[in-house]
Amino acid sequence: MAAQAAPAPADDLIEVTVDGKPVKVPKGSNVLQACDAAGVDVPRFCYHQRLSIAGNCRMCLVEVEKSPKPVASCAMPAGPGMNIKTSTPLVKKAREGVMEFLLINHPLDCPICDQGGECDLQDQAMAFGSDRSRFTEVKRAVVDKNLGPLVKTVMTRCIHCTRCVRFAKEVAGVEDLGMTGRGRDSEIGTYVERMLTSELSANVIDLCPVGALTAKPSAFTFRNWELASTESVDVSDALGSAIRVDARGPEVFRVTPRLNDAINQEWISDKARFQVDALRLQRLSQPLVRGAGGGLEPATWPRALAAAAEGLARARGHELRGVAGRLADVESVVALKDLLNRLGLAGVDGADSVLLVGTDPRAEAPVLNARLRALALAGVPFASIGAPLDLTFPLLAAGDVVREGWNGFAVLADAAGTVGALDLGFVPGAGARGVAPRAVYLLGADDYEEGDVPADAFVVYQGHHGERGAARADVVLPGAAYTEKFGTYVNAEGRAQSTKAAVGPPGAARDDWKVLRALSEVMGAPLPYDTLAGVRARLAEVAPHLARRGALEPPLWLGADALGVGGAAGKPAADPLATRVTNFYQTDAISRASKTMARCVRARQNPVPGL
Amino acid sequence: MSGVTKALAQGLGKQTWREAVSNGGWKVLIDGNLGSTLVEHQPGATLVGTDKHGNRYFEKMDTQVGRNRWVVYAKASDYRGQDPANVPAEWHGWLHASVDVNPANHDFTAPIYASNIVGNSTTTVSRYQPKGSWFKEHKRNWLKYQTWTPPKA
Amino acid sequence: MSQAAPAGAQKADVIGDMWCGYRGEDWYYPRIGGTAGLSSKEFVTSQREAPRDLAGVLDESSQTLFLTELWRGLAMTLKVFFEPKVTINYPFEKTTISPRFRGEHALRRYPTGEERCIACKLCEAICPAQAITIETEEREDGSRRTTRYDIDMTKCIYCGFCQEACPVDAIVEGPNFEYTTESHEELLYDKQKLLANGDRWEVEIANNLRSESQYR
Repeated sequence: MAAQAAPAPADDLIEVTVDGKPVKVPKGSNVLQACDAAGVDVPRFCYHQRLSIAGNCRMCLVEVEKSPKPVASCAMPAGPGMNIKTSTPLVKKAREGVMEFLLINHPLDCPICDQGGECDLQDQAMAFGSDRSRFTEVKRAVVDKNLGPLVKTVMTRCIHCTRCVRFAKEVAGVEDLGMTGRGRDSEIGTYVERMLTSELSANVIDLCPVGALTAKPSAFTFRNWELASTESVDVSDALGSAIRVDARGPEVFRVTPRLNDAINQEWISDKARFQVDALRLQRLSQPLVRGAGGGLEPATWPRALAAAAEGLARARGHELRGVAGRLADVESVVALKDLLNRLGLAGVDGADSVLLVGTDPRAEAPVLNARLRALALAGVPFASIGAPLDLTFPLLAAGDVVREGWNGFAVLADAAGTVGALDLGFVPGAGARGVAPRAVYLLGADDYEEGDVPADAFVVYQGHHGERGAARADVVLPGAAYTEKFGTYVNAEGRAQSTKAAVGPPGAARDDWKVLRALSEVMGAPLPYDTLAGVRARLAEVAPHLARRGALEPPLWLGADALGVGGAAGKPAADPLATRVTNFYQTDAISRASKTMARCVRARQNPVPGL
Repeated sequence: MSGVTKALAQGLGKQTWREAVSNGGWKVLIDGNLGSTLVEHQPGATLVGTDKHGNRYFEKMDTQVGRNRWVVYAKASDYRGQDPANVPAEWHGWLHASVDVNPANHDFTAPIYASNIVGNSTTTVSRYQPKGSWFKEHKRNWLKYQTWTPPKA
Repeated sequence: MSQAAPAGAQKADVIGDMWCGYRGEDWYYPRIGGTAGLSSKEFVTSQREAPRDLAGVLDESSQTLFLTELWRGLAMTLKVFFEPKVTINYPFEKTTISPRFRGEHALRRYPTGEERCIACKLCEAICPAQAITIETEEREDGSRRTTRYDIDMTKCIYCGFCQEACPVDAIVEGPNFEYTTESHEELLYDKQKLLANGDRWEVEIANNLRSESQYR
């Protein structure tokens, strides 16, 4: 069954009565949606707003007048004048009966189940179930399935709502899961042991109403009641999915999606969800200065800032380069740009150049890919130019052709910080091309070309993970990761969104813009802002749309002069156009440091173990 | 005046005195607690059992509840010897009159992981110290993150 | 405040002409010491008037000379001296405690030696004093166990909620209450200490649990 249609326009409303209260719902809604609109809580397990209707859990039974039996409200379309009753003795008995049946084969796992505390079955059993059990028989058990390194399965707990099956088929587009067997012996699984192949596979963890599908990397490590949640934005790709960061004390334990109909609906990619274990690995927590022996040694902030100031002062004019990394937020980019401009520069080098078509949205922004898929199924034609792709929807492959004069392209950025940096004008200046840099400031940049940072240049690296950039640097200044600061990121559509700090940066690390402000003070060219509000005011000066968070904005940077492509149109490149994202799971410093992502890479190499 | 004096007046048997002195030493004369347990309370008491640490357990019927069961510690002469933590678990319940079973009349099969530790080691070197204690060699690692170690030059 | 004895007050409650005892919501004590405003009914024995007749004078004088009240008191002391003492002779004798007594905590094990605690964190959630701190991880064999189980015995209020909440009878409050320490830090128990307590007291804890399980 196709996914449910969007609600009809407002003039197409029908009126139904729910528990004596009249409510208007759009035509085509089902009875359960009418109850939700009336504010009445109807329990359900298999129904989900974004999936097709299954109607197999029977928990949503309500009484409809003139109907001989209780009615599955998720499957019954609401008719005008329907009188729906949700708190009659018949409904209460039906709910208790259904709950009793669901609990017959459900194991007594609550103390060891990760879903305890946020379990739909627990909550609805308390609210709608009977208070005592009459079960004296033996429960059935099901063998656990191996679905890969991300999703932990305890299939004995499965109540066969088939939400995971429908999600994999309809939203993710991979028909990995299915139900085999019947009745008491039905099992959800992949039939042959193979991992889930979608980059959205871990969303089934959120969907599963019981603890049958849970997160494997963070298994057993927390209970939901001890976590504090912060609303934030994901930076693993340029989509800017809305996430909720759950932390206990100073550590982030998990990331779950937040509802945002405009961007990611209710889904996030596996990378966005599970790269957070890298937030406690390979962290830069104190400033480092390259000492006399050639190795990086811990230093205090004053000493590190002084060393950085001295090294950067050796460069004159265009010899000083700034490189912004993939995860650079616009606050730190504007601080860096202002600092370099104050030090007498005309322009700075952008590290992450724009990706042209030849992109693989499935690898780069899986949630976006899911939405593109929805559009494709609705009839919008898609074509790709570049290497052949396997997206989960049909598209026309035009092959590797770029002709002269060819016009019209959509640019899909692949990094969270790209669009924001370009919006601020972080592009190569006119005179920058021919000059070899003598001092380079890497703002979290680990993906620079070797030629951009010559071996004799003085390098300052400011970031949060120790990697290629920090290993090359002469001074390392520790900054904050995206869960530890209030940073603004512009997504591929042009929407500016802010992350919020869920925890603090580790050790002696500080906010990125504050590091740059301190450095500017030490170098004698102090930046004019001292507070986050000051930085944001400066942002509004440079790029006014950055102050209007959440709104869709046309990109400022798609003009040819902003791109630095002027003059010679150039011949088409000899290499075939291909996406730069060859390894979806390890694209930036955080995901490369993550052990979970490494396990995913290894599992992808062998998706069907035993073969 | 203590019960010892009364015992003197009553002219208790030499056996009782010999044991009392061997158990408690000269302190029996001045420590009323010790003296009254070892000397005054003994007549009429039955030895119920001895545990593996050497503590002896006595019972005397027809006295008030609370005074009818007592222990004579193996080394009763100082405060460490008289430490109530020297009573092991199997006798503890009987001594506190929670239960009537004791190892003499009931089979306490200890589990395989049971330990034979008794006593309170506070103020000694072997006392329990939490992981973050100043005196412990292995400090608890409080850091919730791992710092990056730069590669060797 | 002068109050007449209420109706029904026992004779023993009346000393002289004053009444002392519980009246209404408050204990009423006679006011001692002469101040202005006292009625003639409010006085203590030492302030009463001296007797004027010969018999009374002789009585009073001989009581003063021969220390009558003092001898009466001392006789009471001597009487008690020869009676059997009721004082419990701690540390040799102990008072009675119940099998339900809530004392020092212990973490129990199964008969095979496997620790019972499955890191469900119900005890941590229910503890009213937030004395329990738990961190958990998956063990190498895939089971759910704690890496950190600390009970701050100085925060603990010994209510027994953790014992009631535990689904596997892992954390219990044992019968031991004689574990005083000289330093504060020795009362910040960690998992190793709690398991050691369990190993030491298991015989008695199991016995108590067996008798109490029919009521729980």
